[in-house]
Amino acid sequence: MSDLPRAPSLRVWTLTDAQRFLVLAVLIGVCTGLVVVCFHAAIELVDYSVHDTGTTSLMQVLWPALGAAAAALVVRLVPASGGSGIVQTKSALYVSNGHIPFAAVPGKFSACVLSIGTGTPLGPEDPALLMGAGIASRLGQVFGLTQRSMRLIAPTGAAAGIAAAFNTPITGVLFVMEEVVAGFDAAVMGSIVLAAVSSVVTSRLFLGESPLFSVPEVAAISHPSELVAYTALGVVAGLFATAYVRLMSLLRYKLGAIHLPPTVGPLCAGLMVGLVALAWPDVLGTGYRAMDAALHNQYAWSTMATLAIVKMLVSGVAFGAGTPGGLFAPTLFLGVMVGGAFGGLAPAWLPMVSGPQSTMVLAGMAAMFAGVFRAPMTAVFMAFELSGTAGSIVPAMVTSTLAFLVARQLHRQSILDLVAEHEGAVLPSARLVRPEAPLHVEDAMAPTPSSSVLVLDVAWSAAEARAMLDNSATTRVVVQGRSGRWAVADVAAARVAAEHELAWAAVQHGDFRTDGMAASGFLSVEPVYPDEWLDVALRQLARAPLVPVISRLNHRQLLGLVDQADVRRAYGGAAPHEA
Amino acid sequence: MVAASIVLLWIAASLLARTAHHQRMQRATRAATRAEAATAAKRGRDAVAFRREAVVLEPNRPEYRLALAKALVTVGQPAEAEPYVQEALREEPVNGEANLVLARILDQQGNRAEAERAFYRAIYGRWPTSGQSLRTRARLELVDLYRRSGERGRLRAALLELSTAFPGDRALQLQAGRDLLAAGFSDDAARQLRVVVERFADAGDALSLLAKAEFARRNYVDAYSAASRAVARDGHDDEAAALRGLSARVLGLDPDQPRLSSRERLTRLRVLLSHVRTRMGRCDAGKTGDGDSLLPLIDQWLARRSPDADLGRTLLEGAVRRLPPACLPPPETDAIGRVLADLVAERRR
Repeated sequence: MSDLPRAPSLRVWTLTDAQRFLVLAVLIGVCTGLVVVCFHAAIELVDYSVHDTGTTSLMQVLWPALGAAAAALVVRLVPASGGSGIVQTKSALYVSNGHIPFAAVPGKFSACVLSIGTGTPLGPEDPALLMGAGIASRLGQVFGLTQRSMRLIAPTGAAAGIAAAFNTPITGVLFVMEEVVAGFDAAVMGSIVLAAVSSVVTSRLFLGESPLFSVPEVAAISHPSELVAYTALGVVAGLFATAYVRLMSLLRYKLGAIHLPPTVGPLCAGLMVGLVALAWPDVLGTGYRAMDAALHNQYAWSTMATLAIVKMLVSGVAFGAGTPGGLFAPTLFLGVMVGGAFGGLAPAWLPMVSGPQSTMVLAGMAAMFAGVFRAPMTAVFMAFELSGTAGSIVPAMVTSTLAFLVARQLHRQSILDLVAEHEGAVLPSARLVRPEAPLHVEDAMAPTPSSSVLVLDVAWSAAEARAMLDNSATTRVVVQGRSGRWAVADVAAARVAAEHELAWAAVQHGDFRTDGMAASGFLSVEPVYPDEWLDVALRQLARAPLVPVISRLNHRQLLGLVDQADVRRAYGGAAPHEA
Repeated sequence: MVAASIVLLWIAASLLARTAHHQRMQRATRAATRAEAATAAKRGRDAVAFRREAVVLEPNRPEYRLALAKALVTVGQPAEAEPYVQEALREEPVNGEANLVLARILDQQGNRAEAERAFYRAIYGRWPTSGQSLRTRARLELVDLYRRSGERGRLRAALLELSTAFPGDRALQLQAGRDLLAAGFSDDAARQLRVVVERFADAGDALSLLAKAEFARRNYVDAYSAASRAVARDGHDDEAAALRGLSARVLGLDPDQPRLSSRERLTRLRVLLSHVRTRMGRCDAGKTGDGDSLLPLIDQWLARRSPDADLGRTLLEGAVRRLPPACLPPPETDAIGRVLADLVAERRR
């Protein structure tokens, strides 16, 4: 009975690891969406309470300091809740097999609610990313995923977190693919998309469907001359992004070098933030309202330029001092203000700047994000999703590409690479690829016809084959039978096959059974394609002395052959006979 | 355990989101109240800031968006206001108030054709019971649009439509009559104002306006009558009193008045022609080629006391045509000027 095939109804309920992973992705999305809703609401409620009680100047200065100190205390109690969030998620992917301590989730939640809610000028997005990754890691353990799936579970949760935090599913997916996974891996794409979408759907049930900002008017580029303005903005944003990354790096190292008790650094940074906020209250907290105001043209260009510089300083000090909070919101704030200031100032010098201010602001925001995080594709779609208007795409593409190029030229590392380095980790990144790219089959392939290998044609008769073999000085033959199978053999084995009509007929048909008498000595081999990784050919070479390389368009067209000497040569080593 | 966690998280998220939303709503309401106070105190910029705060706090409330749009239009930022109105219209395309705000925006942007359409959508759109005055406002603003753009035909149609739309509204009826008169549609104005006078016991300044309309129509008898009634109703109505006097003088000079004897008509022609002769002498109008030939004829007709009224009238018309307009007395305030202007107009007609 046990040999009988399982009934179809039972097979339906037995999920493969990949299917379980996809179901889990939805569950991760829902849980992360709920946590992010709680996170947003808690920050908002703390912000309202602080706003209501912090009416005197003294309280306005004290609140950010007290909140930062309390948050630092939480980090002291739960060390896993410290850091930027993105580094921990990448570590989970590349180092710790997807494991993130679950304590990081409540720890990061409470620490960031205390700090951001009381006015620390950092953002809730990177913490949401870590919380998503932490939830995913926990659920992966509960569901007993395999090690490979566990490694991919953290980015899945991260995408859910970032998507729910911004209310932007595409941005969540792209950022995780660009920054966390550091590439577009089809194996993880489906689960990341599912998690991001389900988290956004969940959060929208509670927070509504409006985009993060209400953009009044976005004009598409109507005249080629306008590109000049966006080009200039891209360059300016790239320069500003470089300055921001360098300042962050400087402050992080300088402030990190001062050995203070854990809560004192954030307390002092909070006091400074509170004092600065007496003059510029718009820099406090996430700064979403100030960004909204800038989008609605409520500030003069000089005010926006001042706010950009002040925010850069206070967020740098707060982050450098170790206050919990993310870098997304301050970066977007800087981008909005730089774009707005440029849009206000530029018409005096560039007459082609005639579009609405909000287009410039969105383009500046995308450019700054691309320059700081080195994720231009995410930046473009972020501008689109945050504003809810497609008119922002082309300006954002122009500015973010240029800002990315300028920033990368002036400073090799992104802000996340710097943070990781400061935390002692060297994690892979889509940008920091090694100069030696992995090799493909075509890099090692020797073209046919070859002096050492004879390609047997199955159209030949046995006598013709014998004649060809007798006249050839090669040591090996390669043949493709009519069945489409490929095989390699020594010349001696080929001669034996050609001597016997029956054996030759088997070769012609492609019957290369190792146990049969027909074509003995012929070794069946899987051909490879020129664009495949060389690793694929290497695996074949473990079973056969050489591997045929065929065309993808015509499986009967032999393009070349690869043997071990070719592989060694391709990797820069000398072949044994050359040595 | 996972299911229980999700349920707990769901409850927590509901509670926190609801509390936060409640807080947001309270703050948004407070901001809206402050905005209303700022609007009442003519602090437009402050009103915009408060309205914007309300929208940021409660982005899903169309009434806040519409109020912000109105505030933005008031401070002269129509481009920024338009997306807010469009959002409100996406939710309710027949929203009268949103269409009115859109019409104002389009008008400010110089897009007259679209503004006109939006005004009509506002007029025939859906309004709350308390917003009927704004529906009227939409009609008045449409009239103003036509007046500014100089589209007289449409202006007349809009004013006549306005006059028939609210038959019980005295102020509006009066406004329609006044606007028709100001736009030069004196026949329509007289008809409309007569309706007001007949329909309402307290017709306001309808009589005075009617007098003006009748005077403009050269219906001096009715103008005199309406002006007399206006003066009788309000003794301090100097304008009506002046118009009554002027009408009386015109009636006393006009040679074309019905039921005049030949002698009286001749006398009036003589008075008018001697006045014109004097003016011709003053303005050197007789030195032109035509004037040289006309002056002896006029002098001869006056000196001989010719009984030929038709010749006198022809000479009078010829002389008035030769006189530059600046030499003629103003027809608005001077009875002779008015009669002479009527004579020329009658001939042209």
